[in-house]
Amino acid sequence: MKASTIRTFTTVHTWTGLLAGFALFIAFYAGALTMFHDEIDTWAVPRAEMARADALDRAHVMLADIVARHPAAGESIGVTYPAEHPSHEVAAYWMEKDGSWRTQSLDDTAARDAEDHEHGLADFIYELHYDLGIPAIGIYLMGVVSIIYGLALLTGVLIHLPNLVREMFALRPGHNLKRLWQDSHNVIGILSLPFHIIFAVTGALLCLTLVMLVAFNTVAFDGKLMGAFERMTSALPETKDKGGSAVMLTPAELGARARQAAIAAGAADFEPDYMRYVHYGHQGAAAEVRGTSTKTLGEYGMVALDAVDGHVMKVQVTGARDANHATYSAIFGLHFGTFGSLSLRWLYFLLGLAGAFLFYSGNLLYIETRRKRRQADQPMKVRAMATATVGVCIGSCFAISCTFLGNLLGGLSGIEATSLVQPVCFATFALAILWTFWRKPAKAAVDLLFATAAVSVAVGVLDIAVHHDRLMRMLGEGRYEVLGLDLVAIAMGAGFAWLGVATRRRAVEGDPCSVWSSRRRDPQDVATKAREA
Amino acid sequence: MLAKTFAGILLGLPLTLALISVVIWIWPGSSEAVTLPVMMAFFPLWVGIMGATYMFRSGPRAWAWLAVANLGAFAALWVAKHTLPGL
Repeated sequence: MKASTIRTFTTVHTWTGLLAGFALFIAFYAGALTMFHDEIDTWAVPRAEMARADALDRAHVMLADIVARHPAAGESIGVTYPAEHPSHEVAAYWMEKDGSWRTQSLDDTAARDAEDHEHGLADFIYELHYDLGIPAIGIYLMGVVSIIYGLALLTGVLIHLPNLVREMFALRPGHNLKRLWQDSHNVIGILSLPFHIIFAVTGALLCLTLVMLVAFNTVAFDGKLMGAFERMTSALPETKDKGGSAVMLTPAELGARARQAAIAAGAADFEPDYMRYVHYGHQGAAAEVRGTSTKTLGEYGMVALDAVDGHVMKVQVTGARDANHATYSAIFGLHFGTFGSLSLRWLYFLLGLAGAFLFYSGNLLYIETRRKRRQADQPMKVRAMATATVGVCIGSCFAISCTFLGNLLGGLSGIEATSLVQPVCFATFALAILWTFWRKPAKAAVDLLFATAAVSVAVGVLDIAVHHDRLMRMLGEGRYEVLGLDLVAIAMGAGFAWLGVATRRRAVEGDPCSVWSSRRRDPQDVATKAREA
Repeated sequence: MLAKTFAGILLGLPLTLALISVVIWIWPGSSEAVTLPVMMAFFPLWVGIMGATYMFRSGPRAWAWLAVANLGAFAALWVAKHTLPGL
């Protein structure tokens, strides 16, 4: 490659990194935590799970009741199966005539707006991961970020290509700190490249599928794509409402029959998690049961059944599905890391944190490349980048740890934790940003790292101290998720403390001609350093 | 460089749409059978085109070549639409 081409790609890499890096840092940090969504939920809501044996029977009664009161629901109504984490609701979902989505859970006495629900800690962190807490447009914003991320990946690999083999495992500690940062940025980028390609592609698809479909539908398929997409992602064949009335098989019965059909078709197992009826209560009614299977890339599979006599109409599960269903399911499997066991989730967690480090180190390299080596005062853009990097990146780690602590303390003082998580997260994030402006990045980085360390350790230690009876009960049942979360919080606290110590050493003893130095500007000292340099 | 960037974004998008659509339309047998797997390539292809656009010698050249490529791709799509069954 010509030197000028590499220069061009370097500029593109820098700008794409600037545009997408901050959002990606938050997405990867929160996404890494979301690998343990159900464990966080169990930890955050310290009440026993309501996996009551009669939940599905009550759901059956509720569905009949909803369809009687909301005729529009009869056309298509879905219901979730029970799951083993506390904030999961067995709830029905349907669309009213005006196009609005309604929901009603087993504990509700009346229908409510499906959008109108309080989020617990686990769901909040998950949403932060894909919309940064911005309502409505956040998810599209993250879709655009994913595309920019793809371009940053492509250009990053191209720039590094000439040295790729020679520097594959190069990590050169020593006098030249920029070299060390550059090496670690490259080595993490290259070794986790497959992981990053997966996320750039599936992230864009998950956020922008609807936009993409509308574009293709208009440009190339003359309005026929939307109906085809329904066929490509659902197992339900064409069904017809034959009127009259019919007794519906229960969700439990249909789930059991779907499992039987899935296993007969070759799936290792099949755990129903959601189903929907069409033409509920009428002759011709059908049901589609969605469930998850193990030992496959795409865990989601679907079985369509006649809701009156229960015969199987169509099976779209692993081993017995077409290319469209396999692809659609694989997008989710690859993104959510559900194609393996617990060890895969740990791997995704670690790669997610490494990804956050990749974007952080990219910002540091931006600063280091533009550093003035012979003067203490650094250019405006370097100071701005340092402030933004510390405020947004370390600030978001701080805010997320504070949200866990807020959830824990809020629960103790009797405040509904779900009403607490969002304000705590946004307020502490704003505080971290203000703090960074006020203290300047070199000092603020140390402060925020130590604060994050203290809060993270407090999350683990306080939970063990306050909820020790729950901890012992769960350990007695052979369940380790709560203890695991407490220990990981303490370990991450130790990690942040170590980063804080290193950053402080850099601020006190390091080269004073840098935005990362907190030393008083002693002109003579600066002059000596400048001569040495 | 900014001219190439916008060429890659603004002309790369319809070009990617047309290329992916053509592949789906002309797929032997059933187009619907491969619609989603082929569409998976949409974002990677667009990103690839955006990256490749920087290899043009100048901004105007990038716009010109991508415009020609768009004409070609949409012409192919038009022919495919009028001769093949599609979805």
